[in-house]
Amino acid sequence: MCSVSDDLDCLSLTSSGSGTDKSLFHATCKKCRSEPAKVVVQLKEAFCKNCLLLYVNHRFRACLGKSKLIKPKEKILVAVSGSLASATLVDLIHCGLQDTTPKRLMFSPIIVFIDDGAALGLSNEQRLKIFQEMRIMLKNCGLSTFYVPLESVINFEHNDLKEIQSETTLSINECSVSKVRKIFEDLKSVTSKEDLLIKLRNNLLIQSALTLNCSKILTAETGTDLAVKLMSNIVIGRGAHLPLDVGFCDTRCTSVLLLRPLQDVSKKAVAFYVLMKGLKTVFIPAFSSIERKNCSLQKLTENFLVGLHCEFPSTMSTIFRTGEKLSLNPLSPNFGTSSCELCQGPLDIYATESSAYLATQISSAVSKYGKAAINSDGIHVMNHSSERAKNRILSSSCKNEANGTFFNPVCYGCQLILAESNNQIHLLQNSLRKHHNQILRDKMKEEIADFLIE
Amino acid sequence: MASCTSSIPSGEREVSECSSATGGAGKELKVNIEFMGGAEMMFDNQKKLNVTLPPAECKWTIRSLLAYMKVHCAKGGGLERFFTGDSVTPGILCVINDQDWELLDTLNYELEPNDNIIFISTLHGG
Amino acid sequence: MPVLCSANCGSNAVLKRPKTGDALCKECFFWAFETEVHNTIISNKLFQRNSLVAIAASGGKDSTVLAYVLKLLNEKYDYGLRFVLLSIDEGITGYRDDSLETVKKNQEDYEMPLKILSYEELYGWTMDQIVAQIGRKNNCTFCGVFRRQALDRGAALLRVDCLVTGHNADDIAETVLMNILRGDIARLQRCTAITTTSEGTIPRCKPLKYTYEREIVMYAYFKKLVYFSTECTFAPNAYRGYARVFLKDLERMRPTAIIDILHSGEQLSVKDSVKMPERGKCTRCGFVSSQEICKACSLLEGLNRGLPKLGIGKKSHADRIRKALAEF
Repeated sequence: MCSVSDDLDCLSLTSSGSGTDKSLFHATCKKCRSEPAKVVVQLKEAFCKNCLLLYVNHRFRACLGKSKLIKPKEKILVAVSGSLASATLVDLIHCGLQDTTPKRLMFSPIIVFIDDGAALGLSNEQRLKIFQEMRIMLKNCGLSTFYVPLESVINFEHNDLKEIQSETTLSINECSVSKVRKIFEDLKSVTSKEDLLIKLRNNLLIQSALTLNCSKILTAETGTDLAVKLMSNIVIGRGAHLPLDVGFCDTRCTSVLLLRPLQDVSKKAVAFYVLMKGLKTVFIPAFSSIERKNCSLQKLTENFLVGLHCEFPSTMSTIFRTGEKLSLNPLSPNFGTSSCELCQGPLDIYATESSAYLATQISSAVSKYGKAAINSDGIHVMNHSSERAKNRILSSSCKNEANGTFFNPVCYGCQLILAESNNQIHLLQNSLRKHHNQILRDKMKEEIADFLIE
Repeated sequence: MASCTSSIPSGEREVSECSSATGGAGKELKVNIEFMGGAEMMFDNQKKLNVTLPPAECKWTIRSLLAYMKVHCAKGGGLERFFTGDSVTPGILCVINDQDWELLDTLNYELEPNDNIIFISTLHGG
Repeated sequence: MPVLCSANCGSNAVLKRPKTGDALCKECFFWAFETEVHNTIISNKLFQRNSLVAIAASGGKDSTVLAYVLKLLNEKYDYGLRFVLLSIDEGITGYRDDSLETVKKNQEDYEMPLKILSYEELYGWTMDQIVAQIGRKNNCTFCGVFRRQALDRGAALLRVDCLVTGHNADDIAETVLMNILRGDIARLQRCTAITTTSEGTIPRCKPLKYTYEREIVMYAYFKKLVYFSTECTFAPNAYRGYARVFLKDLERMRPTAIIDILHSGEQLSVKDSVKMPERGKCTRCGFVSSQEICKACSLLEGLNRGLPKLGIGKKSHADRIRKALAEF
């Protein structure tokens, strides 16, 4: 059957064509109508330098203000990676704190830089060079700046957080570095490596926030990043967590919320902000830089969407707006009760009808065990209605015969990571479990908060 | 040697035709190129590149500049990540003298001496 | 060095399963393929005993394999179902003639009655005539709207209890991606449902929802099933083509990506505060529609009045045109 038939309203998606819009040549700024335009921001809107800077700042402030989540004097951790977007975030905050700024920001930001070198396989020299560049980049921001290496996630301790400006060299825990290296080298696909790295970074951010007494974390993810992340997460089976991973506020950990105040700004606007203000950035290669063009599902998705966006300029904003309309699935049997031990997200593996997870279980059983997996009615053992309880949680399919079940329970997306790991990932188990329990305790505390006498 | 027609020729052809002009009326053209956001990785980690384009009969454009860079400047893995067709890969911004190239007819912009051209990669990991 | 079938039946493997990568012999593959569809049908309670089920048959691989497997499973596990093949003739010279021949062959091979409904008899227009009037720009929209209704009308005419279509895992994964790209939150919520019911129409289901397209081809190939596989003569929608290429690239990198997308799609939930279009009934033909006048009626009106763009694009534009005409 022709499957084209389901596109009823595709007509709005006409290509913008390959010719440039001549109306943009030597255009004047659309906003102030006086200065010559310097950059086209979205859908043919051309801004001059000052208007662009104001635009980015306005989007940032409006986003934070609208949420009403930030309170005066609140300690807030600002996650910085050296990228264009994080340079912008730091500058916006720095400017926002100045006495001369109208409606100045009243919170207390603390900058934290996570060094991923161990996971990326960088040498100690390379890591030191990056550290020194970060030091220079953050020198004049006037804020407390901390450094924490990713390998601290193995066994996080408070003194793993070091003040950047007072350190001249890096004290590297070779044992932890080698463990992290083993964990990442053990994973077969770059897709899983990238996915795990994000989970571990977030984990570390939360631990750092708790140590520094910060109740919120700000990340520099732009609207473009989030649109790409939305699609990538769908592709790697993390659709259930979209409101947390891509929405404005990640509420996994009740005592530390993660916010994304640059969500209304595009990557291009941020790039021009950096350029026009002459901000310093530090480029840190990711897994995908080192390999070919499309080496992970996330990179493939990014290239696809960025390419599509060139021809259809409303692509990124449409995807992002779709994401804004999503909420966590309240019908999931584990809603509000259990969470994944690796990523702390709500569990999305349960045996109801019409579940893709059930279908994958059946497929692998049928392929591996043949007729032994099926009863006389042709039904797979797990499918039998008499054995299925409504709120049953199916444990992760990562069962290593020699070592028993490692993480139990985990969500669908994390289960895909574990399935690729031979063994090494159990090096993370203790610290992740500890972190998981800490978060559970937080949730419990929140529930009984009204009844606790301080 | 075929002369350049008034229509914009495709990049590579333009490079070979223009730069092989003998006794050409044109002079050398110096442009300053910078890389940001990880784009430098595709050019042997050079953040700045001063390129002197050989004399040519027809005007150098961004299109022909890219073709030139593809042949003379790109090193190690740069090719497929930076260039796509006769343009840059989607996600790589081009800024000419502090202006978005979309305001200047993108690939067709004709280069002037000492133009500052910045390529910024907005892709993850460059 | 021959590889053994991984299901431990002793035979040599002749193929690698696209879905799981396991090496299987022919018989074990057939058995695995059929068992999975059987499990899908049972776990989702797709059919009731003694039902009459219409199979949307296009002559293509999906519907041919669907009909074959349903017949086989019905006999093997005694579902107690009766089947009828339902085919739609869009009136596209060349394309349709050959595929209808295949459907007629299916009817013979599978011993099922066949009902053919044409756009001509339903709407008074063939696709050839429509394209002659409106050109090739929006023809897929017309065809899609008309086909959807045609299947519903056919199912109603035949008085069946349920309509099954051959949508496979690839189709649905692609639809999930497309709905995100288009920002169609209403369809996004519905598109992973294995059964779709709405008031006044016959329920539809997709037994091949978890079946990979490549495995359908493999099954048809090894079983030597005959099907028709040429592209429609009129230009296909370019946008969906991008999504399809993307999906294929994903599958090449990680074969489970297709099911992973299905899983993600199933988990999506829309915020309560988001306003969804209400599903009422068309005032002209009575079919389910979120507008006063359904898409098919709008398009037909446009064709009949020589206003081909009526019904394409926003409803507000169509209303304005109608109003202007009424005042004329």
